[in-house]
Amino acid sequence: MAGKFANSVLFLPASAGTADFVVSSAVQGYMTPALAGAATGVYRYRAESADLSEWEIGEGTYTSGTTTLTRTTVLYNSAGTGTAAGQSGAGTKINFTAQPQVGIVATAQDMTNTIAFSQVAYASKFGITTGTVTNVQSVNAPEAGNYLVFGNVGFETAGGGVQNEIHCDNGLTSAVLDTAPAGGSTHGYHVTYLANQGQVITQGARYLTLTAGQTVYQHAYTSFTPGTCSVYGYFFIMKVA
Amino acid sequence: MARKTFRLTAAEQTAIDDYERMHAALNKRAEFSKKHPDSPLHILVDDFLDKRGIDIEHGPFNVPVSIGDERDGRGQFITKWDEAVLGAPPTTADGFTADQLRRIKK
Repeated sequence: MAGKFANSVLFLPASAGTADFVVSSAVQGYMTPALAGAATGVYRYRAESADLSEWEIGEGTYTSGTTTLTRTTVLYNSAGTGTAAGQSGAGTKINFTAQPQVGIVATAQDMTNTIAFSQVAYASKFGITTGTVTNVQSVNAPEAGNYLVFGNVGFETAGGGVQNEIHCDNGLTSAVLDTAPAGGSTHGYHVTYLANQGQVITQGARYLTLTAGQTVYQHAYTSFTPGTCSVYGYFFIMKVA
Repeated sequence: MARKTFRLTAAEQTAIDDYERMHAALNKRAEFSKKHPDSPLHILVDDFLDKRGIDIEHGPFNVPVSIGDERDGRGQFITKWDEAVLGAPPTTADGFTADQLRRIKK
């Protein structure tokens, strides 16, 4: 899961144990999340005891209204029972014997861009119906975060008709073009175009903020008659934050 | 001021006539395309609206009715129906299938 970040945050929570971290006070020389301007969102943290014998790296949601950081997923801990690769996978919370120091941190997971792509090759192009918004393909954004989504769509007409409109975009609703400019992804134009040729149009990059994993669709639309039109394309998402 | 007049050659006049005929044909076909005679669900929707005396132009944006295809084997379906413009949406009693109406709010 993508995490937000806040600078120089190190605080003492109100209690020890396995409870969520309710901010009590800043450690000398550091700031509380509120002082660092942290908004509500998902963050990664490291909590550690004074002698470093107990520690936990995890991710959770900080809520500015309650100044509480949840311990939703334990990635690593001093017992080796986190969910990250190399750990045992149980994700056990450390039962801190005293209030730990808790800092907002960036982890390796924050620095890895999730990339997913899909392709309908020219050889696999498929026919679409005139005037019908059709899913060319979709990709799964696996988790919450900010994504750039882009690609292209090819339209291949046959049958000697006239094609007078082509559009593509991407979005979160199946089989529906978002209202242009659709976050920058719309590419469309009206033409009076004699068919029996191919056109490939790029789909503008779109910045999507997802609060959970979700399917992202690539859409195509064209208007033509008579004859046929097939589509193909490439579709790509990249998590950027 | 004296005006010069030009007389077209027969070949030039033929070329202009061909150009105008081609444009007229293209415009007619482009307009025809707006009604989507090759799309079964568009035809069904148009027939349904004809009975209400409503004539609409189809398109991808800012139109009262939109049609989509999720490529899930269930075919075309109505993705948007603007009741304020078109009145109540069709039902299966009007000859539409449940799949074609699956995104119509009940």
